[in-house]
Amino acid sequence: MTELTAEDTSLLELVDRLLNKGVVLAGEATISVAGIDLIYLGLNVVLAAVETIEKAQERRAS
Amino acid sequence: MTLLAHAIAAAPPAAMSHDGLRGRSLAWSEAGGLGLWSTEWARDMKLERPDALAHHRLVERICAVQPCLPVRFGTAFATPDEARASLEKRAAALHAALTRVAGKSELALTLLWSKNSGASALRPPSVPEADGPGRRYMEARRAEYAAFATRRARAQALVDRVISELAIERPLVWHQTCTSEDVAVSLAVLVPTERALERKAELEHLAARFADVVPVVNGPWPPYTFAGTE
Amino acid sequence: MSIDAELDELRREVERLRGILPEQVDVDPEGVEHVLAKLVLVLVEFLRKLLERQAVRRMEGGTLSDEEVERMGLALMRLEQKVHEMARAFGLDPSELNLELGPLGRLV
Repeated sequence: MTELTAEDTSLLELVDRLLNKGVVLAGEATISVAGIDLIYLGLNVVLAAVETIEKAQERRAS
Repeated sequence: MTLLAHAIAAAPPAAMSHDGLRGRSLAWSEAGGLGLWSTEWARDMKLERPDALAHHRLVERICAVQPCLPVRFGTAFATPDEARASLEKRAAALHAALTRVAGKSELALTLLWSKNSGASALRPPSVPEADGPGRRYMEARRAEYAAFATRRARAQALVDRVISELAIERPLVWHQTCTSEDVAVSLAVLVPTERALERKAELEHLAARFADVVPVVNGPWPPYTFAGTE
Repeated sequence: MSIDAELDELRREVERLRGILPEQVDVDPEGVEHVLAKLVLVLVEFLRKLLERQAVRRMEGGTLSDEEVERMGLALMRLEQKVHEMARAFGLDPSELNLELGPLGRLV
């Protein structure tokens, strides 16, 4: 079992709220890359996926 | 002009500095008696983790001057017209949600399993050698599920204790149990802002009494968990 | 569908994926295909755990013979090995395949 510090916990709770809670204005939102909507698996996954896809596109363009 | 949304408030906009994320301008888009606070974003700009925390600080700033509903981070509108249309469409539900959270703040309680919480129960017990590997695998899984069920029951009991001792109505509490290996309970309560620090101390005090968990209390925060309109 | 049939189908799907992924997919950790492969593996892992849970429930129900329990256990064990091997081939630790689906998802 990992030792989660109070600081880690607080950050996790905050990030969870920022990415997974709050008003959802779906349909108008979502991050899309080159017009392709990404499967919404939680914004943290989407953010990671966006970084990966954009890097791949950059490399192909170069 | 792409808009990166932060929070929704009732019109008129409260007076505040117009500094949005990354030193860019804050915009107010109004419709249906509501307004969306957002940063004027550039289409090609990518969101990074520091932006998420800056968004949080901005939402705190807005909540300090007027009741607001935090918008999920990463929500963007291609044009102000689209933002306004979105507000218009959900106006009634958004007004109701604003009424619900006005004058209130969120406190977050996390209960982490402490070392003496019987974590060893999660390790499968040894099964007689005579049984085949398939049977041993099944029995190990069965023991794991039983251990998890015990933890889940204990976590739920902790939630019930906290809610009853806080003497708070159920609609003002949200909780999840066993959200990860370390976390027994993740709980959020909506309390009047003027009593937030007092209630926070109450939470810390009552949670400290449980021997098998370590409490972490956060807030007062904007009402992220209670802003939804579903 | 019975558990055996479901297990068989999942096993065939996993085998099919093993066949497809290494050939057509660029195993570049930075590649788009890598991201998609991860999504697929996450879903497969979720289904695998769901099936496992059903199987254990049946065992607890007392309706399975010793032979059936042994066979089921072996099949599940092999399925776990295969999926975790595939994950590692993509540089993923099996624990990274946990999909958060709220109350539904936290099976383990």
